[in-house]
Amino acid sequence: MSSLTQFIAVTDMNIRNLPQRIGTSLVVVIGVAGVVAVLISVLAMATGFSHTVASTARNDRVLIFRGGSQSELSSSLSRRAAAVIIDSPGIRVESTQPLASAEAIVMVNVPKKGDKDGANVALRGVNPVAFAVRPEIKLISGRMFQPGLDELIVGKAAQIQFQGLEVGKKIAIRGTEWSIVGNFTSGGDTHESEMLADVEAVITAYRREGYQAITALVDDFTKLKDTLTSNPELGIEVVREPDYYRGQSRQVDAILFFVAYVVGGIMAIGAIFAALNTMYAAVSARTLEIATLRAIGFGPLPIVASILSESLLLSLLGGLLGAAVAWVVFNGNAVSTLGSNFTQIVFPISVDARVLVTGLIWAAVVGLVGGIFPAIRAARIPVAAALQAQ
Amino acid sequence: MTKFLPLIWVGIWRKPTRTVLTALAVLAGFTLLGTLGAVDAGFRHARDRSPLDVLQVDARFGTPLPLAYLEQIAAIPGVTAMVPRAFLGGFYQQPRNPIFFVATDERFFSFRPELLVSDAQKRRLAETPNGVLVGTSHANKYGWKTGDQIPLQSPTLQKNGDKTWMLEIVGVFDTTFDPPGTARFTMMNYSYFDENRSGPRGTANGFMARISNPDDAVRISGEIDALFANSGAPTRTMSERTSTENNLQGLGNINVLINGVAAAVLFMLLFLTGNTMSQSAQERMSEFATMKAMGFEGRDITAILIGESLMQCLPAAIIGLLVGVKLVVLSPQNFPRDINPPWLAITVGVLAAVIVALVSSSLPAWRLERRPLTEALRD
Repeated sequence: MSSLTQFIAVTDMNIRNLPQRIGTSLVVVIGVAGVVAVLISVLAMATGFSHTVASTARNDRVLIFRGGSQSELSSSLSRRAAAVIIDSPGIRVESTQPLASAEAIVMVNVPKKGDKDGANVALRGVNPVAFAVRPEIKLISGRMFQPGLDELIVGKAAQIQFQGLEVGKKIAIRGTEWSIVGNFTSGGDTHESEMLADVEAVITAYRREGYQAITALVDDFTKLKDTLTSNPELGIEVVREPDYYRGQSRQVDAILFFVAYVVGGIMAIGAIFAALNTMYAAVSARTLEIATLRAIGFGPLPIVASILSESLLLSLLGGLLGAAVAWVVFNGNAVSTLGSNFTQIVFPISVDARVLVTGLIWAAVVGLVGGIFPAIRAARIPVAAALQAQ
Repeated sequence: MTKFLPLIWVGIWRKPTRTVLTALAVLAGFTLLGTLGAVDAGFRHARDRSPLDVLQVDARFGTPLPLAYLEQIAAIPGVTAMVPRAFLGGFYQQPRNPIFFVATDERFFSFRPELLVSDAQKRRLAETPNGVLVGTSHANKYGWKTGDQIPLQSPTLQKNGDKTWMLEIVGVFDTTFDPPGTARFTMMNYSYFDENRSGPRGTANGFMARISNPDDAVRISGEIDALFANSGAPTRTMSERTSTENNLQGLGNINVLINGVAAAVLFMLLFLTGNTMSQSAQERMSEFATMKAMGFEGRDITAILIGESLMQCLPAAIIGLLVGVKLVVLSPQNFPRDINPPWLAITVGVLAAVIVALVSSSLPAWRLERRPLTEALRD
């Protein structure tokens, strides 16, 4: 018999008597399922979050705000400064119109669905040019707000998570009723968690004297940055969008890292011990069987391979079970978290193929490490002594 | 049970590999429980330490609040003390060294008894207009000492248009909430800040108000907000406790995470140790039967099994919990920490270990008990 047919024969035998060792085998399945369920849930959140943040970011788009401010919300720009910035060289110009939108961002407390407490949703006052700066924003229902009126449009993600943001409803902002006239998407980015309105209407309502930040498309980032930062009177900072969002998402990243790798890692170590235990038990229960096989001419390699594949099989079963649990509980759910502006960013949890594969790889590692030492012990069983002992 | 100790000892070392691996799995599981327990303790501590009898009056829409509000709020029955707070944010030397000063006055210390500021430091702060008190964390990080002049680059300009505030360090302090050397709080004189800033003078970002009866927190908060609802600068008032709870919630639903993972881990451990105990008891069926035939009581055998299970789980669980509590340093920096050991988590953890040990040995013990002696002897 070749090694391969030997391997198949032994593995087949192992798998067929698995039901007799159901208790011990389930330890591995359940242990690995726990690890993979935690890992996949968290990685799915991380994927959803980074997708949301990354799809906001474009390399040729910049945020301009007051130096030292950590976010758009804590910045402020006077009208005079904004006018200087918008006309600076480096900003893309389309038929004499610089593609730069001076914006005011305020917080509006809106009740969350299924929760008595409200959370802050960002209301972004924008210039009409904002829609050229962010071409990904598209109306999906209703119409655009009209300049100067107390009208606003709501992002898809915000509408899903919060109460009373449907088109046609009214929302009280600073004692005035604002009409919700439309609903927009922006390709699943962070702006979908916001509301948009005319910048002058927002500034008037909040009795502001100026803007907070400017978002612009650039042709020449270095030129713009040099121009603006060489003017110390303005005291402003220019950041590319990807850099800005990377900085802002650090907090969420830290939590996800902790849960995925610290919590998941410790669980995986525990699962490896459990798998080792199970597989050692499986080997010791079959000492006689393995010795007999060796005696009738089975090589050590097929024995090792068959123990390993049993361990792998159990852990992959566990991995699939854990993945199924994570999928059922989380897939398609949305999670919201405090975003950069102390407002809520809504992001989807997406259990995609890459996340699944990562979970199964962890399961396989647990199975391999948990199987290799017992497999080696099985191959080293002294045939004569084992046969005699029985 | 002590007379059975030798038997228990021999019993657990019957299959050393199995015992060691089970103990290691238990250790890993309880390490995780220890870490999660310490994270939970941090959140609990942050919540419990924020007082119920202090209200935070903040600007509802970010519009700075006039100082005149102080007297109006103080006049509300039940309010016993007030202090203004303004914030001066900026950075030291480079934008990646952000620092944030609370501008307030000496009344502030009665609201924050956790600040370990000496009377001499308080006096120096009062005597030095541009004086600041800084937490040990900043002082260690930037090498600041009392008497140093430090430049703060701030988007809040001074009235002369300068964005560099020169501040003099008049003291470095720790707090009772942070491990020594990690206090991050910083404060400066409100009067100096207000006189020198270019922005709206005579305003604050908010106030703190002490009330005589914590039960009135909601009512008084409502009264304060109603007072200014139609003014140019409406307020939003809530107790410090509520505010902390909101902030903690913003970090994510940590409770669900902790409870979910802890329940899953306990379930898996129960399964694992229960299995180990069943196997071990099964293998020794005839031994136990012989012992019974020699005159051991059924409950003696049960005691031995429980003893084995405890000896296998408890030391591993305790070591795991203690290691886990230390691993809390791996949790995100912005999670609140409790500098005291999380005794609650450790106690609950040890109890859980005892329960796991008892439950996992009870099934095999019960089976042994029910097995007719003659049959078991034949095994």
